[in-house]
Amino acid sequence: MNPLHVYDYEELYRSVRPDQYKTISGKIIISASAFNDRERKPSVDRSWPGRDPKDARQSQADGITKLFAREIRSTCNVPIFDKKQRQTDQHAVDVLHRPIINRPDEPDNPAHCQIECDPSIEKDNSFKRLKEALAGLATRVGLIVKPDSMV
Amino acid sequence: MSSHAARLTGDQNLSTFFESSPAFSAEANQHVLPRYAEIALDQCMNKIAALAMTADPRPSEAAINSFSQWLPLIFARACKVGGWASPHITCSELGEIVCEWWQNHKKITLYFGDGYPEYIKVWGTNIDTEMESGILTSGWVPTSLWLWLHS
Repeated sequence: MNPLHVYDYEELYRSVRPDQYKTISGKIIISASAFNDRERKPSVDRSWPGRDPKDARQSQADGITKLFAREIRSTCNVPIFDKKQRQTDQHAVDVLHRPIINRPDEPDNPAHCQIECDPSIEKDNSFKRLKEALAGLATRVGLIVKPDSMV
Repeated sequence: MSSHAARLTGDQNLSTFFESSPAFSAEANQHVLPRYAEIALDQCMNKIAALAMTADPRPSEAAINSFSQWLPLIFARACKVGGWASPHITCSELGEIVCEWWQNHKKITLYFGDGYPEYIKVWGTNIDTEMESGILTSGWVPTSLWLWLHS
């Protein structure tokens, strides 16, 4: 088993702030803004055995949603269009293990992964679609850890 | 002044009546929708004000200007074709204002930033086959988006 490879069966956690989801008819709906990322590489955390998903929260006010690596890889292929809007290729979406260790500006997080595209997404519109797809996948699961205010 | 004359002063409680008479006053009747519109639009602008104070990143000035210019038109079209619902309002990583509406398995997201707003219609998680995006122009697009969401 390669610890740096994120396997298809793995569950991945994403911390969601209170303003990034909405409850409609009792169902939690995750906003596309829950996957905002300046570098267009949204972060998720691996769910290693025995790991409490609460550990992935960035604050006690946040909830945790869950994505599956297989779903991210299989449903989120982002098309590349030319100037005449003809599809020329597509970005392959992947989940890559990018542990955060000994960085001066961030606490260590050995479970840290990034959802990345190859080639990298340069058009903002494509990233917006990727966020919609991720939000849709997360909404299927809802919040597996509720914010402290909801418990 | 006849009972059919338009009111010159607003009656917050019973704006369609003239001095307790049920006689219809055309101008006074128009106060009902504007009052509802005022409340609905105020709710949205209050949310923007809150984002401008607390969000990270904060909405850009261009985004706020664009949103405040487009909001009345979107509201008016929505009211004409089937009722207004307050959007879920957040901010993107680029400082755009993001408005989201969900209806069963359908979703519309509007992005307000520099230039014309962008829309994304979402009915699944496949970026290629279950999403459609474009530019929000002032013609038929806002109406067609709302009709699609509620169809």
